[in-house]
Amino acid sequence: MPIPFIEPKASAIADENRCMHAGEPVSVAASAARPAVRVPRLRPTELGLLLLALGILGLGLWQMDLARDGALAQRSVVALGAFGGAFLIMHAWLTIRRPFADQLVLPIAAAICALGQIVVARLIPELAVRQGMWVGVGAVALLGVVTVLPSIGWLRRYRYTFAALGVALVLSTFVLGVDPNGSGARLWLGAGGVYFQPSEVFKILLVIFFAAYLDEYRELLSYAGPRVGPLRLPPLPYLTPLLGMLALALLVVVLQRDLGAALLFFGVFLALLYAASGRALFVVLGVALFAVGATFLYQFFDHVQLRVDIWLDPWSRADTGGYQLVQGLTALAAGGIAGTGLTFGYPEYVPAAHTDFVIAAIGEELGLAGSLGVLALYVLLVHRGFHIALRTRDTFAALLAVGLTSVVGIQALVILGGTLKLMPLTGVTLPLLSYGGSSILANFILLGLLLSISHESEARLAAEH
Amino acid sequence: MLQLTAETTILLLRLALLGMLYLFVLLVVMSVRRDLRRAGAVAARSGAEARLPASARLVVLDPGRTSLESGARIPLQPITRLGRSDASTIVLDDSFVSGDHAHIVLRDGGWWLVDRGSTNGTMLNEQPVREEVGLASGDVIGLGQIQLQVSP
Repeated sequence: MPIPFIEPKASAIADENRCMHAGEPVSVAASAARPAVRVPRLRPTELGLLLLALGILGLGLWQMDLARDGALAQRSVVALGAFGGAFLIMHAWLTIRRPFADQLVLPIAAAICALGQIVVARLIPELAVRQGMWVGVGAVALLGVVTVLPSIGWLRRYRYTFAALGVALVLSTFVLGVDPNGSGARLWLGAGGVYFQPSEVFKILLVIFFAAYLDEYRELLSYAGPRVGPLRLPPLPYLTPLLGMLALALLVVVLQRDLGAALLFFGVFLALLYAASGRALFVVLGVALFAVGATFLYQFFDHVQLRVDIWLDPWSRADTGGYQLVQGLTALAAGGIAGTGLTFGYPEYVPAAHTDFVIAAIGEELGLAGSLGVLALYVLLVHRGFHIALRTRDTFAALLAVGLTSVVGIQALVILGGTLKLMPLTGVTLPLLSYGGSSILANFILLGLLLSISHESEARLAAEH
Repeated sequence: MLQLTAETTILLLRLALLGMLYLFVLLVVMSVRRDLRRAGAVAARSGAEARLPASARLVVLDPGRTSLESGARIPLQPITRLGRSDASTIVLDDSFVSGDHAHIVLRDGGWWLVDRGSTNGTMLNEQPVREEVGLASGDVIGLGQIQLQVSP
């Protein structure tokens, strides 16, 4: 099949469009007083890479159909069409409404999503349609964010509202929470077969609050604070609301035994604190605090102790608590370098292979090569997020971009590290890849915010040049 | 026409899938590289040196006769006073240094160095400081024998 390729010429034209040249000004959202700016009319890089991501999905589905039925199944064609349609609509809408937005974020997300679709179609075909529908819902949410959000500054204005909303959402699981899949934690809301995990949305609301608060007190955090010898301690009075919010978030998720979320929130908090203040001391203090907290949890909570024990030695518990981890490691080992090929391995023996342990399924059937490819996609997505943050002049938007990117990066690290037995396993989804509606939805909202930040800052930069 | 067996087709598709995944990664990396080059070119054109963050610091290259230690890193305050007097932010107990010798201030998102009419003068990269000058990463401030490097 023809491989869509990004033509350098087309990109060069788009690049030229970004700079202001003599020529007809195309309509722009800037005020009349500003010089006219040429808006990039097409997004060729994005389109080319999206088609390539579609190709990945097509090849995966085709190979599975050949292995199972001997011919390409009609449902695969439909799935490919729907998936492609969703991303091409997002591409078209961005071209019209957010032409300055980063062109790599969406294709990278599409490639990760495509692999997710392949894994779900491989493991639990009945869920594939549902996963596809969630991608559709995510696409609508992304379009909603880039269209409806008046400006990034608007998020800062309602920071306390968002914080309150997030806390209310998570607290509501204490009263109304259900546990539809028997994981032992009542983290979901909903009924009638549609369940929703509030902590997924909470993480975004929390990042908005952290970013807004740190932006407000950034200067104070960088300079103020009592001195002890050569060290300047953090100015505690200004940190109190922030620490309070963090403590509340951690308390809630720890009480709910959602340790993965706790780790994620704390990691993102430290990343943001460091980005805002530039002081390594904060990170050192944070890590020390984490060590104290972790020791405390280990002492007083059985399930934390169990997690650590399983991590240290899953083999002696291979038929009980360590079963999942051992199966996951076995699957990864069975895959070798090139993998067994889709449908030729046995990833269905790994519990939760379509959600938390998705890398085990990929590692078995696509091999080390496939797993490293997935890792590369996350690295590139995180790189792109930080790139967007660095190109942003507005400190709130930059911090927000750092926070949202850290969410994706740290969440991927937490679950990949857990699956590979590099750290105690805590259940979170692999962003955009794992099966799971709330996770997909939340991550698309996150992508929408990143694209909005990117559009706003690039449009401003283009207006200045 | 060459007739492919199902096994061969599947093998080819498997390799194609991995190949396409890595082609995707390669193309994204190339695009990222193009972006970074362009950003570098823009930065070079506008003459913007390495901008200092709001949390810059001084590295002691040569402590002179002061009690500072060579290699010590001193964080900059929004208004950093360099001088011999005890009221200075960074006290330089060297007879060559004036009581209130020079200030480093944070303004408009950048760091600025100003000589406070010192007896023996302040140098920036071996050039005497006559009026307020902007600081960039790697600049060396000289007060007599004392050499302080600005670093992010």
